[in-house]
Amino acid sequence: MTFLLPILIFLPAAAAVLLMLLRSPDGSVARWGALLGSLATLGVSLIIASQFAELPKPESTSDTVVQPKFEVRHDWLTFKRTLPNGTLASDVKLEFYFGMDGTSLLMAILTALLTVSAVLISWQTIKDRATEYYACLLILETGLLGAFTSFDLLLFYVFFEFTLIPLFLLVGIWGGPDRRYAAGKFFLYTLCGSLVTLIGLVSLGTWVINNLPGLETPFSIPDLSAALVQKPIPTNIQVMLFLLLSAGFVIKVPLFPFHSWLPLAHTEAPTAGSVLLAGVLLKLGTYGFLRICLPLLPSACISPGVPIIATLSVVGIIFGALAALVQNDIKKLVAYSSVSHLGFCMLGLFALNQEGISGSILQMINHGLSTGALFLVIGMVYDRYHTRKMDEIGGLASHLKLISICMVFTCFSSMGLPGLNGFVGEVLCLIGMFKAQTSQHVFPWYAVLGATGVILGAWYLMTMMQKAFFGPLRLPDTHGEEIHDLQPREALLLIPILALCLWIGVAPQTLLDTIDPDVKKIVRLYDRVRGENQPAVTSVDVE
Amino acid sequence: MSEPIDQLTAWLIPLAPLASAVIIALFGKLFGEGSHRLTVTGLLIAFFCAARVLVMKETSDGTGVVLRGPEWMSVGALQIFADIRIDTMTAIMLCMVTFVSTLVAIYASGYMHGQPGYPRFFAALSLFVFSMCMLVLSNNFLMLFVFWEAVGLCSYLLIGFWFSKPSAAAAAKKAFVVNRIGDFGFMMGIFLLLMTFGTLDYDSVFKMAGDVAEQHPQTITIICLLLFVGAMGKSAQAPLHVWLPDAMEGPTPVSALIHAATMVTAGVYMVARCTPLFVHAPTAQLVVAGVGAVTALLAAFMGMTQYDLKRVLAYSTVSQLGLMFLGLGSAVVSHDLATAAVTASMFHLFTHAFFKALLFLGAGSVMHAMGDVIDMRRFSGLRRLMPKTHITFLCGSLALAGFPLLSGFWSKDEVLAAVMAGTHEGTHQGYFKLLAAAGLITSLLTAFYTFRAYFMTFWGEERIPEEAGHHAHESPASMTTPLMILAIPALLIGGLLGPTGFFGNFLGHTVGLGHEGEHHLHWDVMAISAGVALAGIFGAWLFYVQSPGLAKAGRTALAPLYHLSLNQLYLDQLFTWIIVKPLWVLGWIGLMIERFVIDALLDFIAWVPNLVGKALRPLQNGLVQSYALVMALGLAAILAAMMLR
Repeated sequence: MTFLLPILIFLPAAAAVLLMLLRSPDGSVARWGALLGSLATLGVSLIIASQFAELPKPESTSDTVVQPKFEVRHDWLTFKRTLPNGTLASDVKLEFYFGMDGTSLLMAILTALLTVSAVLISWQTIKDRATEYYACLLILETGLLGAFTSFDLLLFYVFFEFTLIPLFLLVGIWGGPDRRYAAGKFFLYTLCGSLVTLIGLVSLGTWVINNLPGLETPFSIPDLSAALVQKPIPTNIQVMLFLLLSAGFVIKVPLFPFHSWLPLAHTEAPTAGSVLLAGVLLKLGTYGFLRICLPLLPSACISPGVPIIATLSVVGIIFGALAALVQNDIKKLVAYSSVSHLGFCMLGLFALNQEGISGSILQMINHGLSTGALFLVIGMVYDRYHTRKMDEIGGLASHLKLISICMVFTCFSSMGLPGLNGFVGEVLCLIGMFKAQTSQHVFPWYAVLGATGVILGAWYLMTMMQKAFFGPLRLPDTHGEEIHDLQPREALLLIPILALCLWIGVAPQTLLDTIDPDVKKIVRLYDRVRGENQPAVTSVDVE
Repeated sequence: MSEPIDQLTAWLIPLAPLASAVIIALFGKLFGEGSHRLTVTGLLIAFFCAARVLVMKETSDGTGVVLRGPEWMSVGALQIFADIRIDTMTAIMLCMVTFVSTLVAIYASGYMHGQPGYPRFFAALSLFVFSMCMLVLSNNFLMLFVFWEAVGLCSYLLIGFWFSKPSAAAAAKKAFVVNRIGDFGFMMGIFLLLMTFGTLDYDSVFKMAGDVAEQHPQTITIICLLLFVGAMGKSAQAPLHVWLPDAMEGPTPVSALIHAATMVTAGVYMVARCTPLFVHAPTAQLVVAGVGAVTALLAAFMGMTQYDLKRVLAYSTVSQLGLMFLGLGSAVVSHDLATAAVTASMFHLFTHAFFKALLFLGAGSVMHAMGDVIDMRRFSGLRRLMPKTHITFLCGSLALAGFPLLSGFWSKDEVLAAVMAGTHEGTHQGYFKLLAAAGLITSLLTAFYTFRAYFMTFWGEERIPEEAGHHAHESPASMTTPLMILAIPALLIGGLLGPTGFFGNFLGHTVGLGHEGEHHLHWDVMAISAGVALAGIFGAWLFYVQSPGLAKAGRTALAPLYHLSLNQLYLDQLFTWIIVKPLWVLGWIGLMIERFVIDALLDFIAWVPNLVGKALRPLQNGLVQSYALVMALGLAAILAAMMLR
């Protein structure tokens, strides 16, 4: 089992290297190679998934907060540790520490699935430098898989940053007319944020090395989080670390008002880039919060984390929805809808209870599937008519029947119709936040305002469908090109995603069971911290 | 003793229509114009099962039964099973839904003949019946919400069936989005319910309602009001009723089934189901009654001047739903009368389904013959051309108008009796006097506009629009047979089940308040409402048959009122200006803030390194003398600092 994990992570990269070596002038080797590579990766992820439930439960203590169900650990660097008072303590080890818990597993499957679709959707549109293009896609996949399976802070950071490069190239080389500016803005903006996160990580490491002399592996998230349960970081330092670490994550999510790179990057990116960007890359932000901030900095997450993040999420939900409402470019509309949906995700995460965090993780998957599918369908329309403007196309449903059915289905999944995936995630996020607030006898403003996004979500998606897909047929000049409905290749890349949407909506319990142990451990930490907080105040007063 | 309810019979009710929906959706091309056979088969199976369930042990002895379904979701405090619950209330609803939908499906096989997308229509129709049955069968609030939205989806798909027609696409969107506004309230109500009760199962919630109400009376009121907001969306209560008249863009069988008989009554059903909660929230009940009365009156007012036959019926539906809510709210009057009030509303829901479906299908038959023209100014005098349609439409009109001894008469009479009770009992007599007046005026207007539509369509000289061509004729048997079958319950079912107390005693098991006791006939109310109905019918005859000049004179004399009614109180325009446009503007403002504040700030930050570079550039000027000077000055400064220490 454990040997499959490195294979999963590095298989796409290996395939990318092979592609570069075996390049063919027309790019057919690259296409097929990329397809095989991504399919094999998906296969590996599914093999892991099939055995995941049967794996023995790892040993855990009451202090365990994060724990992979299986892991691969190797020492990387060891150095001597001198404490501030000059004494020599145990060595400090940096590791290659990969592992998988339920959340990583789901994110890995999502990544592998969407990469296959990304390869297939590019099949005919990418002619220019095809080898490099597909290599970029595969390398991006390795970066993403690595980030989702890293259980070491530095290793996570390396992969987190690494994903920027292939995506920068994808947008900058194969993007739309304004690609250079978009790629530059995207790269610099996220890089600046990540550098602040790096400062946060280094400060965190320094504090841990100095204050937890017994901890040999201060960068291992499971070990560190368990150690911090016994000896939490002082609250003021936690707050500082939280703000530093969040910088990179809020930009990646993106949380309002750090979102302005996103619509631009989406409009300019090639379809596959948008799919991976919206479907998976944004989740690195929420995943970072879930994996690093929540387990390590509980006091800071409770305050000021909750008020700041929840407020920004709610503003983002409403802003994203209203901004989507007034768009003319469908792709931009979906980009803004991502801002709105990720707001739900963050709202659920910072409910800091079972319902909210489960909903948030589910929402990460759901948004990946629905928005991925939306971008795929829009890509198909764009490939045919070379426009995404709603004032230039209309009534597509009478012309492209199957594609329109897929679009209607995807829109309903995205707007959270019960029976499809979006509903389960959204409703759990909102219930989580509602519960979090009412249990503190506060009026549930965040949940109530956030829920208006449900109305607005229906409104902008329905408006888009009404304009572009219903009504009388209005088509731009295709210069005699023949237009076909859904092709077998397109069906192949879209149907699995739609099937998953339905499956998650009808039977969400399988996914919820997968992530249940992870969520429970984090919730236990928060119950503990909240329980300690009240008496802690009085004891300080006594001293 | 009859046999107990078994899993198979119960589950077949929703699953048979679902099976036909799935099969048609996947293999619709194969079946083509034969798709309706699958739907009708599925619906017939569902109907027979529902009828069986009606007489089985747990329903007939009134205990009810909950059949455990698969687990849907279980996270933290939330544990949701897809259970189904059968008691007298669900059994009645199921029978009504499956009966009407079977007839509508048969009718639609004639009506939709030759339409592109024939299989799509029947797939969506079957899916709707599945969702509606599950809505009625659900045993907890979350599953109720799930299928609440699912029927909304089917409604969307069917209103927008002719999607290339801009008005249909717009109407479908409007219906869905307006419903979402109601659902927002519903969702909040469910959340609050979950937080307050810790569960969403009906039985547990209703059992605890009394205790919780003692501790947090405010919370119960808020929960009930929020749930009612959901009901207002789905059951088209003012001001969220605006979607229903537009929904008439859908094919007429859809209007008959979804937008008259079944889906729109889901809100009434939900509030009736939640009676054990609402009795602890008198304020909420007063609001329900008030909103119901206002809606009933306004919708009847708007229905008076419409020229689109289907729109007249749509407003009539809104108005009748308002009456049902008025009845439900009247449960506040006294605890003894609560069951009677709720039963009366449910009874009206039940009879209304038959005669309103009949009227819509009749209107569809007219539309079919007139080449899809539905404007009543374009045709008249059809009673000889379409005799079957004419007679059945007349039956429906009489029932709706509350003609003595027909179905609508009995049920409306019970609702009005419940309201009238409030005028001399309880603590809100003044308020109920207003409500009773609204109810009576509504009855008068109902009789008037129903017969206005009837006379305008079937009386006068025979005129046929040119769209109908030269072959305007009575509709085929597949359409007229359902009309004739529906005419029977429209005429008789009220009299059979109402005054005998049969319906009340049967339903009383479920309401959750204990038995109604002796069933009374309210002779005084009956006399008044009979008089009102006859007056309305006579008025319509006077205006539209006897001396048509009167109608024209009335229009000019009351021009402002006429235009207010014709333009539906200008509510659409009002909402466009106070909600839709401002939100658009807000969206633009948001984008402007993004562009000129957030991005400008970012650009500024990105410009700072540039600026620093520019500022520092003169230092590196390439002149050796200036470097030497700086070096010397620096050295001097350091030396000075060291010496001064």
